[in-house]
Amino acid sequence: MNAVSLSHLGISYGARRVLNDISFDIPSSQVVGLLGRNGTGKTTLLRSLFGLIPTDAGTVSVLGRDPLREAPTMRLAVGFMSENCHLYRWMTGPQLGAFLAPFYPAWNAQALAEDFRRLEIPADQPVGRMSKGTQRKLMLALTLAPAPELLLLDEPLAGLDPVARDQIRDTIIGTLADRGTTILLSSQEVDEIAPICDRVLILGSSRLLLDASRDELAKRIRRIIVTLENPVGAVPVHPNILSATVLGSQLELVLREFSEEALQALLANYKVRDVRTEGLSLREIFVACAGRKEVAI
Amino acid sequence: MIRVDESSPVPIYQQIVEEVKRAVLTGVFGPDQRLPSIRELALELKVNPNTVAKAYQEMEAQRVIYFRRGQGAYISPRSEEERVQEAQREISRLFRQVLDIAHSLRLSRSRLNDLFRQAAQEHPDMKEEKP
Repeated sequence: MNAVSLSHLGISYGARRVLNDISFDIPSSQVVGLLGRNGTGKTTLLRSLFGLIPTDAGTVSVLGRDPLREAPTMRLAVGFMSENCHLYRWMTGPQLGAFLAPFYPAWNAQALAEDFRRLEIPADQPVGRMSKGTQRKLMLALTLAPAPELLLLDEPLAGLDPVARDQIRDTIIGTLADRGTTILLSSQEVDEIAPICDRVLILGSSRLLLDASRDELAKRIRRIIVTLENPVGAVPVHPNILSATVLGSQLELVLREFSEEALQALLANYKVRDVRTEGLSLREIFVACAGRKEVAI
Repeated sequence: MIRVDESSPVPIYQQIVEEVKRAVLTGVFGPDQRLPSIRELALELKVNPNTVAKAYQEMEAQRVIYFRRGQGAYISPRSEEERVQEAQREISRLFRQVLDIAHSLRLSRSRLNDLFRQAAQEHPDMKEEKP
């Protein structure tokens, strides 16, 4: 069974369509990175999966349940870490743990105490006096304590120092190794989350621009460095060319849906001296996809 | 000791495979040496444990490592002949890269041969063939 299943999801705020015709499935134990520029609907998507926002088109299923109508049962098995801290400001970490535990049958107090120690969360400090980084770490520990099957993490690394970012990543990796949790996480720290993800989704303005496994990306999107016999005159034009740069007699193309045949066809009218192809980092792919106005890949 | 480059286009599981093979080739990992567990290596490299598991499966398929039930992964012992063959494959791979560059720089084969002899002459340990 898929942990998450979206079919033609649409969400509007008033007259504005925030998400349009979004479809994808996330199988159990997969780690999916949700990328996109600011304002592309990442938070809206995560919130709708947790049943916090009504959808107005399509269907959503989370662990086989309708997140809106079956929110109470669904939320027992889903951990949602929002971007903003909504914890009671006068409570300390252990107090919050004791307060939340009765709501969750699978609450693991021992694992929580271990996470508090590893994440260096002070036991005697109320949330209101914690730094933003400590608040985020506390939120993550509390999100993991009920042993969720699915984690929805909204910007878990945003605004944190490098040590705190590492601590959060280590906690996520440890959870994956120990429990094989399914994770959907949004982030702008593209290079830092890339190695954690099995798969990447890139949201453009309200639509899905790209959905590919990490290993598939390097095959599907490639950089082509072509050296011509003469200085480059005209740049080839094709919908699959994401970007083209010229330097003297060198032409650099970022090409999607790469194949040798497609490349030969593009270069048919050029006197080519040398061609090299290489893959792109996730960050470069993100910029190439999200940085231009274009059709979905 | 094993390093992966997060911004490299080479899949991370493949980078791990290459790194371990290189470590075996250079003698950093000896025969029957125990490798870190999947959890340990995932935390060390800050990568998804699924990725490390995939690398370990790939290395088992290529007989770089073997598993002992319930105890983890170990480096496969190899004969001297296998070691030499692998070393030759690695060098051939690097030569192909050099040839690609030479070709794009329009360097002739004889000029390339001269350059190789000169580089070998200047190298402290490769000046003369050792017995």
